[in-house]
Amino acid sequence: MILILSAICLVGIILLSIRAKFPGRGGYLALLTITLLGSQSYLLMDTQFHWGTKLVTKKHTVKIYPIVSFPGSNQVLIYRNLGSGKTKKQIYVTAKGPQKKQKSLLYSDGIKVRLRSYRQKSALRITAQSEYHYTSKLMQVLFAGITNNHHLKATTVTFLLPGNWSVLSTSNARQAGTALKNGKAELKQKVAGRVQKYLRLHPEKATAQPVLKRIEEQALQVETHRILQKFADRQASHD
Amino acid sequence: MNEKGNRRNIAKVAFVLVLGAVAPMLDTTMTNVALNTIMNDLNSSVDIVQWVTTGYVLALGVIVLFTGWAADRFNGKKLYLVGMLIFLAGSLISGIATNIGVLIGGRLIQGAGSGIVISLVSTLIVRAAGGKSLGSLMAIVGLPVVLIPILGPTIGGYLIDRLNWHWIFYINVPIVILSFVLIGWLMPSFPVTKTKKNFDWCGFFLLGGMFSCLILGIVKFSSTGNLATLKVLLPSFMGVDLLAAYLFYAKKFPQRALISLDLFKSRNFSGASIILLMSGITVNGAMFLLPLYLQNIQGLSVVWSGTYLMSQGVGLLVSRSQIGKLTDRFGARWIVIGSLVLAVLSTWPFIYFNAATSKYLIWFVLFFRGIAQGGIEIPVMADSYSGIPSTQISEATTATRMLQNVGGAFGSAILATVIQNRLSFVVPTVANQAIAYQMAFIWSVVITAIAVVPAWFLSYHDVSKRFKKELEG
Repeated sequence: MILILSAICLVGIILLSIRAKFPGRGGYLALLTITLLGSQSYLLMDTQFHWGTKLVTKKHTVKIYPIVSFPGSNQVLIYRNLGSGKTKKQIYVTAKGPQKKQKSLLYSDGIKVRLRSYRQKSALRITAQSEYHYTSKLMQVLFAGITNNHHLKATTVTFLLPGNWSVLSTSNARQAGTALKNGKAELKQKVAGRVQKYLRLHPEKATAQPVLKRIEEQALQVETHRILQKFADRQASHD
Repeated sequence: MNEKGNRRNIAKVAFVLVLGAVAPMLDTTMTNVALNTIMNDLNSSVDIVQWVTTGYVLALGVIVLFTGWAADRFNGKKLYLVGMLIFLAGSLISGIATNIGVLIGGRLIQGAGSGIVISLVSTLIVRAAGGKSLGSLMAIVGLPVVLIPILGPTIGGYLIDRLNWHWIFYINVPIVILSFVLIGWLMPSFPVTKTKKNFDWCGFFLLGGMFSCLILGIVKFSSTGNLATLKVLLPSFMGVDLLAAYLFYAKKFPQRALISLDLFKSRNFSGASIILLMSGITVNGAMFLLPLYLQNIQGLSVVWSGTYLMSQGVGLLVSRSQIGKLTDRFGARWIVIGSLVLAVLSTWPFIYFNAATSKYLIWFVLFFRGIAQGGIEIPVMADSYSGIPSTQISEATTATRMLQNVGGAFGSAILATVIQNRLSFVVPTVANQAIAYQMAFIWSVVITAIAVVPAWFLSYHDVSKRFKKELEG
């Protein structure tokens, strides 16, 4: 409404400016100018204060699955970089189900992406959208066109990743894969070393095959994760 | 024979004037393709690097206001040469720049030089021709206006590919020196027309402020894609308020005003002004969209996309002389309306084109777009001067140039925002981008069709009446 009012004032001022013989021109011009400047100031202030609204954050959580897995149940949240320098953006790729058939893409342009680790088994993606919701109908009508109802303020996507997840770019994932392939023997040795260490501490478990298998799995996970972390993104978030 | 010789002289003047304007016009389009490279090379951000183009447009727009007055007050030839020297200095500073601050400074100087040179081309050519055969003359003057946006990105892309971004500025040096020598040798002197008129500082600040604020608002709008922010609304409000203030001032003090409101009493000038304001989408909108479309959807390189666009240039070259002659004979109205229809028909297919579309079909359609582009630009430019007294030619140039700049920025901003809005939160795959570009082409088609309304106010020569009169005479 105020936006329309200011547009009407502007048109009025322009028409009165070019029509010198309009009766009472000076008075109308002064009135329209004051109204125009007042309404514009009001609109400008609304961009900062968003009068008559409350900020509502809607959250949507989905379980995510990796599209790339490494030995020892190591999962990777993979992303691809687009652009370069300060315009660099990322596309995060995850699977919608454990079968990894359907992919889900998230583009970081215009949104804030946070990467957080947490102590749960499943990885989650939480999308939080902050919107301005009008609490006053009058204000909604007055500021239509500037702050609309459900006007989006910001979108933040947080990836909550369990300890066995790493965040790698496509090129880094490729390098990590090559490094793991080349260092297979060393990895095997380190895993065996960890199992030996466990047996030294718990000699009574030497014949318990399921326990040894679990320890071996854990050792493989830790050692692979250590290698993956060398290539992982050190940034906590992508804006 | 005498008239023939005179026409030849005017064509010669038109040629050297256009030659001088090639480098400034080329520079505007070449820099756009280099922005990403410059940003990475100078370790800058999008917000700062956009001043490389915005600063140039602002300096150009503000200096145009001064040039309109200076063209009446000083010798046109000397002023043109001074403009070229300023542009040369700006090019050298931009070329040697090793940080973003120096580059933006160089671009401001370049923009100032361009403002003098580009606005003097139309003023001096119309003055040399005495307001006659404007269609044919604008076919010469309009050639670089239409061709350079096509060639600029290709040349710029090639220079960056083969050398580095500094060369898009160094390339101006030999062109300017050659033009400087030719202009000094071949161009006649343009005497002073209004010796006593003082510079209208008040009008300058009002119009300069309006132009700067509007451009700033538009640039911020295109980068944020959101109207409801202080960064967009504050300069936009200030811009429209300053416009209203100028209109009041120009009506109150018509003798002093930098641009007289009397100009808009001419129907064809008003019609041409609105079309020039809309040309940001009708003519330049597709020029902004097509290279991006060819690069992102068809997967072409910068150089190849420029090569594709050359078929548009061929269309213009083939038709331009006929368009000029037809404009002189029939007036601008029907030529522009016909060309707008052709522009709609030749932009429409891009709504349906995709990555698999044959290149021959694209070339074929672009050829007709080239004809349409010339058919809009040349008659509209000619009609902005039709019936304008010689004392107001520089004012008409100032007004049209300003409208073109604002319209150009506004058009690109609207189309960029349409694409941006369509792609926000969406992964920019070829399929998604194709949808975004299709939407932008739909906008371009619709606004081009609407331009038929102001085109109706352009001049129209009733040939049958003239023929009857000649028979009776």
